[in-house]
Amino acid sequence: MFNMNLTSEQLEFRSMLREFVNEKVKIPALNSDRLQSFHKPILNQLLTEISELGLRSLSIPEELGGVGGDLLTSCVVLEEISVGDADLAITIGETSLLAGLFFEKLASDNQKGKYLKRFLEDSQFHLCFAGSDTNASDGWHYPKGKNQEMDITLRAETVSNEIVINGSVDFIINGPISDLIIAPVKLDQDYKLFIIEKYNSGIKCGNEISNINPTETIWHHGICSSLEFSDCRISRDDMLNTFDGNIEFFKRKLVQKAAINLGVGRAAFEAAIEYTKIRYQGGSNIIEHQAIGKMIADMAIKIEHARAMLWKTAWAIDNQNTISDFSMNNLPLEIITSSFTAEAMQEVAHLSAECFGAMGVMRDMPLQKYLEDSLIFLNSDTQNLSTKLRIAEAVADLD
Amino acid sequence: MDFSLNDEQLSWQNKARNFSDSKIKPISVPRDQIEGGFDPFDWSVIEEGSKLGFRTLAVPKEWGGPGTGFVTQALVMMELARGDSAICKAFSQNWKWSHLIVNACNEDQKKRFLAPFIEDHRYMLGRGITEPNAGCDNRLPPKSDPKAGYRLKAERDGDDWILNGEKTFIANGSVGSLFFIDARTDPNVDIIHGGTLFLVPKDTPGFRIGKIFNKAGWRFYQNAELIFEDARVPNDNVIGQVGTGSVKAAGGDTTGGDLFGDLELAANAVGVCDDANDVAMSYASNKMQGGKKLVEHQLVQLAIAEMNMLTEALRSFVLRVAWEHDQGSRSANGVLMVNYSTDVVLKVTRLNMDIHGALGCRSNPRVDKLVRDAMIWCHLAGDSNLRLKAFSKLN
Repeated sequence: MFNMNLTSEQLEFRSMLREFVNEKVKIPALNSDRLQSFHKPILNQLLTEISELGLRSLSIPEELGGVGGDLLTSCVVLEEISVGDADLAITIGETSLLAGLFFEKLASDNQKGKYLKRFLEDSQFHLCFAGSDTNASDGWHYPKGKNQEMDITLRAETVSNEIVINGSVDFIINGPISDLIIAPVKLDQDYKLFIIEKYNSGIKCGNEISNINPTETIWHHGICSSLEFSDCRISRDDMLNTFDGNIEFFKRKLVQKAAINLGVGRAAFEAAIEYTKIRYQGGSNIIEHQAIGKMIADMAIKIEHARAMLWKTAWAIDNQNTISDFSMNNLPLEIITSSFTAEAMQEVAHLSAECFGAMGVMRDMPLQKYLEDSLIFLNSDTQNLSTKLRIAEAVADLD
Repeated sequence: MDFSLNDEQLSWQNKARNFSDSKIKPISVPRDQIEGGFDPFDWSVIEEGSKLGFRTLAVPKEWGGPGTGFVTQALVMMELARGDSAICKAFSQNWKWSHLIVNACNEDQKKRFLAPFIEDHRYMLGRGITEPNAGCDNRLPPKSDPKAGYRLKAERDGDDWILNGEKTFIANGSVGSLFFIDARTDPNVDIIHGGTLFLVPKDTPGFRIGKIFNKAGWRFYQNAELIFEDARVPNDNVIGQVGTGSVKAAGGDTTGGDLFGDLELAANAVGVCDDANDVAMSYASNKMQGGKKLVEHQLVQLAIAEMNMLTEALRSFVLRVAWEHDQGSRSANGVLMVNYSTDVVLKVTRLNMDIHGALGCRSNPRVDKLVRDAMIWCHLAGDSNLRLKAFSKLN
């Protein structure tokens, strides 16, 4: 039954976080010194406070001690945090998503017993995924789809009843702060997921990617680093249940990222509304000029469309029967949502910044950050162009 | 019709291309990546360019300059901006106001200010119009509110004027030696009837530089606050007549102020687009995706074709307007052209980013830089307000 009402828990969460962001996040996140610096360290104290609100364990089922939120709840929550700071939302969203998948679907009883209590009790316990979306560039194979073998960077072999992993991965979100790594690995000819503790002596975490230079840019959100595996020895007991978790993770991650992207657009939009109501030029506050009114209307249209698409997609992933009973089209809704939101929010950030005139591009003002954030979302996992071809491939159904 | 360039134009174009390739482009990204508002600036490239004539390009021959026309100036800007849009702007900002000195200043003022401008390779020019509460109102003053527009106050005191107030976002603000300052000499009427234009050297008592702005794009180019606290300016530094409005004092469009400003931005945009086209073609020709080079994909071919289509259309528009300026023809084409350049430079740099994607953006900071530079167009001079100005010229 079609129903756009949020549950009372979702409404309560949203209200609580909106207040938290307004009172606690915006001031430090938008501090002019922080905005001007190329390097924006994660707001650690706020990350801990957000964790203590239950967001790190948002996706873990209630019976395991988590909040039991579904993907739609995550979207509502992450949009609110992102209005304050996209990097905080990316960081907490990554841990929350991985923790939900790990403890609910991927972990054995032994693994749950080993890690669940530690995770729930330690507000600074984070997770990362040591791999990239191997399907992200599939669009470039259009119209033939990807017929290559899945390419996974980390490789492993069995040595004396142990698994030995070698290889390196780059731009791993939460790499520097994670205690546990979920790693997709090619073992012999099979693809397996493993859970690895980061203090394993065979793992070297690269420095946080924090400075721009001619060969490396801060073109990502959250806290990133490389992870190098050099004869990293783990037990067979560290193998996870199923490899489908890889696909499930990236599907949900795209949706969560769209929610965070939406929060960036909303932050820009709200700043523009506030400013245009007080900026007086041309004989009135500029919000009263038709030129500005049209821009605001265009922004509102894009934000509302993006949120509607986002919630619909999250609902479809949370309730698989909406596809199987033909309530919704069987399309890659997560890619459609991600692509539409990225383009729409880039336009929203651009229009919002224009309302500020010259201040829209000053580094001590928030608008340039929203613009940069929106561009990173547009081209952060893959290419905006090939993303379209992934959608086309699904629609064309040429197989 | 004749689209061929003459020998002088070709010579300046070639000289600018060589300077851009050898001196500007190598420092473009490194300067962009320096933190802070002032720090990305570098005097050495300004001095080197000045010695080749790029700082004084618009000064007439009788005053010791190269005496180039608008077409040549447009060609040079396209080349310099291909190396770095912001460095190009730091040079061309001087042309804008040397046009103004030549056309609007009296002989005494020309002698006092053009001579040092020609001689000193660090002598930079700027104009202060914008104030914290007066941006769009300076361009299109509302008839209903005579107090709208700049408020910096100038009061007569004997042979001097006392200036009080502040200007903001002023180009070349932190490096300028001479500024053209719009002030109100009569606060009771609108700026068209109560505004006066003053020449203010940087060492004027009571005048100082305030905050230097730290921008997301055009990072080399300087924008700063100018603070006036009982700044004493001699009456001899008034341009034109007192209380005639700064635009009229400067001779309106015929002086090269607004007239050159439109051409300046649009020609600079062509250079940015040329650079984006080169970067895109180079990346797409080498990067493999989906089993073949990016450039072999229809989608990339379409994007590159669109980038070049828009760039060439803009180049034609710019050279047409430059030619019209050289012929003394005045129309709305200038402001229409700069509006168009805003659309083009944003679109072309974004398509370049689309072609590069996440990997390309991470491996080549120039891709992101070009987009950040392009965004300046719709914040400093090419925004919606300028479109309304275009309409006002058409109507």
